[in-house]
Amino acid sequence: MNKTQKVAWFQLIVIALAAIASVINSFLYMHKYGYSFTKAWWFGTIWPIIICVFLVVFATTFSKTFSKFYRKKGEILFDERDLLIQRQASRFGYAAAFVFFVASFIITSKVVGMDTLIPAYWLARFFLGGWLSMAVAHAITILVCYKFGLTNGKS
Amino acid sequence: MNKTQEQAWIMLFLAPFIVAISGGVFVWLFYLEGRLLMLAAFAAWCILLWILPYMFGKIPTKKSKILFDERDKLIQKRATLAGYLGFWWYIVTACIIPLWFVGPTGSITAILLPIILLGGIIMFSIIQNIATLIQYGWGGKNHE
Repeated sequence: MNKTQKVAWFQLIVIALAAIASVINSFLYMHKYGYSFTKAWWFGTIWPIIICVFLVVFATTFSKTFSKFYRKKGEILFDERDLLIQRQASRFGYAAAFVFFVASFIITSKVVGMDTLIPAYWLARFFLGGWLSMAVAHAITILVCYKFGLTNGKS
Repeated sequence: MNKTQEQAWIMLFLAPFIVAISGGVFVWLFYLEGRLLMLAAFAAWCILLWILPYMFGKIPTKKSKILFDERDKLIQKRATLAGYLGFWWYIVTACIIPLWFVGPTGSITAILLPIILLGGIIMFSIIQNIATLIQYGWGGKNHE
């Protein structure tokens, strides 16, 4: 399993754990403190998402910096095939974010009504949702292209 | 100038108008005729956009037999990625600016969301077509 695959697995696991923590948190806020669903969801998801964003960004930056400075002599970490996979993963990631934004914007404006006022912090939620869908699609594409690490990065 | 370049030039000028006019028509239909007719019109429009390229692709041309090779495919992939990048940064900016002006406790109207989306699709189309033309050298080198 190469570095890109390890980072992809790490990102997927962090996002899955954040999703589980968000559900548990929201449930606790609703049943223990009697919050409404919207309020509980907002308070329950904010910290897991912030920690998740920090860890995902940290993993990517740390992996890139680490591989740049601590490379063995003559070791090839990234070839043309890896570059192709990275580009394909980027395309799928951005496409997922595109679909998320189109769906969420249309569904929200339909459900609440065009003339209704919505809280401005919803925009931050849309942005975070788009970013998360991009990260998930990016990581899954990398794992699919490397066949989930089962072939040790070789086709 | 090959077919992809011709399409990119045409779409660079036409796409913003097509998206803006059709978006305006959908909003107008929603207010005047209701949700159902607007959805029907949207579905018909999507089917038309999906079918039209196939119909034009079936028309025989005498220019050359090979219309699309590996290089064209690579250019198209890169242009799409550039379009997605443009869309992403546009949406990030469009989400942050209203939040900055009204503050996290403020409110915005829901009609702002489809307007942001329309702008994003126009931005995607413009950047994708410009990226296609830049990679072909704006058609000046006869795509060589």
